[in-house]
Amino acid sequence: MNGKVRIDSSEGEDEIEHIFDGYPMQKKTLLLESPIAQLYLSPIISSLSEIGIFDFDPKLPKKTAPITGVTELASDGANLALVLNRISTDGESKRAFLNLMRYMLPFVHRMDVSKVADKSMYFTLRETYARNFELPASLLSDGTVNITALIVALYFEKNKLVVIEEPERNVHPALMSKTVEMMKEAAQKKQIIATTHNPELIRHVDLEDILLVCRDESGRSVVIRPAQSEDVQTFLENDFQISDLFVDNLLEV
Amino acid sequence: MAVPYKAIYLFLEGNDDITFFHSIVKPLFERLYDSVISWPYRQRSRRHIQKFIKAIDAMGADYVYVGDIDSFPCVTRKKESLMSAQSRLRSERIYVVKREIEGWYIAGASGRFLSAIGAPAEIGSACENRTKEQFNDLIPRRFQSRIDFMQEVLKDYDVKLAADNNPSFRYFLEKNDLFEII
Repeated sequence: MNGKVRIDSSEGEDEIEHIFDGYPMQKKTLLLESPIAQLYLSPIISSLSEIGIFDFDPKLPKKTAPITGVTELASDGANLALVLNRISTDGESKRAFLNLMRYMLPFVHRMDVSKVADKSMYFTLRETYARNFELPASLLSDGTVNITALIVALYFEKNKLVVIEEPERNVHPALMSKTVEMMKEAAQKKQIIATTHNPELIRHVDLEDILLVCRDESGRSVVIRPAQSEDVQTFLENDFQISDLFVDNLLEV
Repeated sequence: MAVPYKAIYLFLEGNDDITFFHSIVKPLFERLYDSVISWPYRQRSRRHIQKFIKAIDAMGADYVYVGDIDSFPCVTRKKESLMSAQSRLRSERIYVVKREIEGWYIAGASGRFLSAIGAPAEIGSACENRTKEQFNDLIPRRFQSRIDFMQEVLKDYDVKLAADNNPSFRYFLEKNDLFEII
């Protein structure tokens, strides 16, 4: 929930009792933030803190973000302006950020962050079409906001494992290849896991990198590797694309 | 008499090619054509590419098909390989990059840029046999991203220098009437 792990103690109390050994727990307690958990589960907590889970809602970064918030990107991207402000303060980071933005959207000229009455901030972009005209985040397309948040999550956050829900959301199909290219590049330094149902994104992913989650005969979710299927390989050798097989439910044959 | 509308389609292999053409080559073509459209072909089926060429031929538009020489011993062999896979492809519309698109990037890198990244000034002149791996070795540690570095190369790019340094790029420019306008 909001990027944190919550275990509802109203169910399965027997299972967690041996871990917490009679420690009094209220319902809906956030176990990993309890003092007893800090004592016994600190290696696990430490590992979890290195995981970034992102499910961007492009409507939220379009609003202003309170100045007092954390500067790590929130799982829904709501504090994107704050994170961009952090990036802007370092000249080298800002230069790299703009190059990555231009790789995806060549018309981006510059990015700035503005304060509102010293209490909140929002980000703006200028485009090459009108360099003197500042576009506030509220006027940007959902896809542009999503790409901005994606670049931050991939390149400017310190998480060692990044999980991204539908990174291609609201993004034009012609940009899928570059989206995958960026994820591949970022994956050289951290583990990236992205979920998708988008065949256009899958078209550009290497078969070896695909894990397909599907149901077995009893309805349980199973994870399979299509790259290990000889039938899938035969389809590909016969001028089928990975995306064709995905659309026709043939990646699990 | 009305001037006929002229369009050209650029068949490009990967994202590095698309970025290079969008930044360097497309603006040149736009001085000769009303419409310049790039089309990535790497993840397309043979049938799809075939249909695309057929449609371009039908509308009377031009096209160039750009591909790396890869492990082929010469340009002729590479062209033969492409044409055996795509029977509609015309030999004169195929341009082979030597050795990989990274060679075209580094060919036009300015002396100022090469000096800033600590690379020898003469590196651009020996770029036709440069591989992707050798190009990656040029990227200074301060660059966290190869994509970032390649964008930086294109910011200070000298097309004339690139044509002097890389014969396959010069050939491409000359054959498409772009050399005279740079």
